Amino acid sequence: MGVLIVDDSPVMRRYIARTLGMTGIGLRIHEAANGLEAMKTAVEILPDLIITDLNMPGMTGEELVARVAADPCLGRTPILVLSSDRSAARPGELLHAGAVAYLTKPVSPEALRHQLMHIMAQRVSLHETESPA
Amino acid sequence: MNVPTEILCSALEEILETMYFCEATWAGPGRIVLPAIGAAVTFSGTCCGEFRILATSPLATKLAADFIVAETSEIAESLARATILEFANVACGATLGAWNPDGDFDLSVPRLLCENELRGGWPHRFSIDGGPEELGAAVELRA
Repeated sequence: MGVLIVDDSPVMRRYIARTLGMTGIGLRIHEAANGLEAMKTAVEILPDLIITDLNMPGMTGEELVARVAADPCLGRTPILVLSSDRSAARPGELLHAGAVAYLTKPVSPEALRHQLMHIMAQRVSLHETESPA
Repeated sequence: MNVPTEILCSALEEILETMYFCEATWAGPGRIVLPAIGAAVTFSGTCCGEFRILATSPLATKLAADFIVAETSEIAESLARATILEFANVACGATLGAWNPDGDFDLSVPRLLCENELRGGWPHRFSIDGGPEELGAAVELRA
């Protein structure tokens, strides 16, 4: 399973990568520092999950969510937004735009791993439903 | 209008405990001993202003090491700076969210404070894990 981590903070990317690495699932971790870089990487690797920050220079997380949702190859890729933005309306806007979950920072390693497992379970269930018997 | 001290304290304590695995204790206003690394995030929306954080260089290195689970000897200054930038970003969002849960805020990309912004007094200082006052914070609301 490939996970693309998008955050302009190199320490946050390392924190997320390390936290996901502790699941023991054997994830392939890829990183990008902004939305533009993320789109380039995403079309190359076709990740199973994108975890993105919102507030980044260049292309923001909001734009990335919209672009991924509209892309014919990436449109069904689940996106987990992980942001310090606690504005009341923001989660609803992002979920409407195509994200599957919205977590606010600070996030504990346990909460992040729990959300990852939940999204993965949903994805496996979707694949099983769509696969011919 | 000011962000109440207890809200700022609660937000910072939550962040330090959740992501950096340490405890902060409010120690009142005063100076922070330099050298230090500081960062600021400006915000707009329901209200406008700037959020500032300052950490002594040893504390910034410790926070970076705890955050990515590394030895302090492995932490380059660039990584310590990146840690304080991210800390300012998270602390600003958490403080504004706790202060005004129904508010709508846009946060800037964090910037490092320049040398002359590091000097002077801070309205809020914190000791970490019972040590000296090594962390400063300020929220400036603009009309």
